[in-house]
Amino acid sequence: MATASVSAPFGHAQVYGAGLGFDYIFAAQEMEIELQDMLDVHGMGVIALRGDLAGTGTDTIRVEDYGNIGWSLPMTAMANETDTVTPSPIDLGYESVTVGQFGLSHKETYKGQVLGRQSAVKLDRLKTMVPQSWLATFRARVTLAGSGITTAVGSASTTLSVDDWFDLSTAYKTNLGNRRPGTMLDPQQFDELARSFRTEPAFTNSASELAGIMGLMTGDGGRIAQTHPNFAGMGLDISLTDDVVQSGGAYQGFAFPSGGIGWAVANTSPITPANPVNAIYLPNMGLFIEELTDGSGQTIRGYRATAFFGVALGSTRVNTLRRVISTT
Amino acid sequence: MPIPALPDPNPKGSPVPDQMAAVRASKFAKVSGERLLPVAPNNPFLLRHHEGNWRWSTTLEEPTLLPEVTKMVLEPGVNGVRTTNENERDQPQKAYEQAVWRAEKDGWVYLTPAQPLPAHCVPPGAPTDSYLCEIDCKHPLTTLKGVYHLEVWCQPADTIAGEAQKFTFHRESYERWLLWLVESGQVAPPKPIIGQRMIERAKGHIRRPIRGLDPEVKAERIAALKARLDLIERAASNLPKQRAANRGASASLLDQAVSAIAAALETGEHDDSLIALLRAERAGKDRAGAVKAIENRIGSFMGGAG
Repeated sequence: MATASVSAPFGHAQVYGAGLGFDYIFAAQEMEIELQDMLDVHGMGVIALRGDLAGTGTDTIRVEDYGNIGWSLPMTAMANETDTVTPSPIDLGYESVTVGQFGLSHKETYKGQVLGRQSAVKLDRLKTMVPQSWLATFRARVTLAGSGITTAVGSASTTLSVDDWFDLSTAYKTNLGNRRPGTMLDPQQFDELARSFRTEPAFTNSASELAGIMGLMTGDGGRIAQTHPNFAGMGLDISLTDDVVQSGGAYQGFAFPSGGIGWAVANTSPITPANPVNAIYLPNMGLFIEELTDGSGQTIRGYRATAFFGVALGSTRVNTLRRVISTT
Repeated sequence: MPIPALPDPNPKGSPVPDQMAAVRASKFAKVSGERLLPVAPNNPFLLRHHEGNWRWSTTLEEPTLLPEVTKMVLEPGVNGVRTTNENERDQPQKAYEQAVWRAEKDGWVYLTPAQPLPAHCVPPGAPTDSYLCEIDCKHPLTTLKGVYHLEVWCQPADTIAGEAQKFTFHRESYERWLLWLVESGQVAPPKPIIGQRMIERAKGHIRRPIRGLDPEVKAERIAALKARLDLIERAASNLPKQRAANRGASASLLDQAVSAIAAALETGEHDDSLIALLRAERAGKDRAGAVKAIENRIGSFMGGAG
């Protein structure tokens, strides 16, 4: 290697110019991850598992419901001691959940494995993050399902307000038998709702109450919370996600009682892959991760994750479901 | 110091050729023609309406009630949409036709994306072929290329580099389209109870006592709510109606035999009122052959979606 004559004074510029310095070095801390929507709807336990379709011969499961029985069917008072008791009918119905197939993969070259210095982007590390991708996909299915709810509160022409929140509360007070409801809103809807609460007398005259409404709450890992249990003491839990659907110039947030939206899985344990080495099965998610062998002989290693699951609304005979809409 | 003049590269009579003539633009200076929207690809969707869902207009000259229309995104694994089998690769509609059929039984009315839109129902410069539009896109992080599906009234907005892509929604033409849906017979007019419920809800918002609020703030809030109530009352008293001309067209075609209806549909002259025809036939004679002919005509447009 040619040498360079460095004249006095020996400064950083001269040493750097001689090829002995760095443009930059990497910080010793762990690689930082970008801002992400980390709402784990599956972990909240409010989406009911309807069943496992593996080995059933179909991709659709029906959830049956019945009514006009029990609490809904009072006995008939007999006018006369010999009157005939007319047999009563019962109502039968069902809702369906259909599974879809989902996929994700990454690849890296052997040279990348040999020379790479950052373990965070190596294939084995990326494989460990597949369950997070599954949870994000699951959450997106839940918000798509919620956008299909028939009855709505709020308006496509106005921002979300306290009055709309009271209307939602009324829906659950007047439809008896529901479990405690939760809502999923776009962060913009939540901010509008909080600002609307802010102008209520109960919150304008109390600094602590105001902070409870408008303050930033921290959640897991010190990140800003995406869940607000019993927001404003109104008995409705709020979860925030960017996945809320927008349609017709309006956010399609929604509310549902626990179990009001269901999901089905097809567990992947029957899969026998071409390359069983390092195959990972997560049957409760319907998830399967396999190593790929590149048939072309290229020095490439890859993995492919495949999942089978589906989400659908529950029966409106069993659950009170509402879309919570507001203008974008 | 005076700046010396550059020598003439090609003086008269010089045998040296013009060097500048050999200069060409560097290939590194060529700008790529690729202009892709920086968003993640997504699936197409159908728009649908349920008879209980209405909204009041905010941009129309005459306030009225408009049908609330929502998306049904054709993504597998949600609301009955499934992943097609290998032998269904050429029939993408198989993924969602069962889901659509079940939703129609629950009272949803689907709007076919094959229906052209009147020019006054789309934003200026937007296509009128369909409410479903697509634009080539590239995920800003993964660089995955694909197609982004959006409503024709939803337009990409100017965004600063590094920010998430934003969109604007052209409400004026959207509300004109919603009104046209009723006037053309694709959506049934609202029942009077719809307007009454909206009015009662708005009155309830005004009646809610707000003790302790600053009088000026309270007056301002009440005024805003009353203005909204006034708008809703005017809208509820001006319900949209199907235009007589559209009713006549439906009636004359459906008076014919099933074979004649099928032949008339093949001409394409009734493509802009297929949904209205389907609803009228189901509500009237409900002949299986006629319903099938209309559904097949609708289905011939929807084969490419998904």
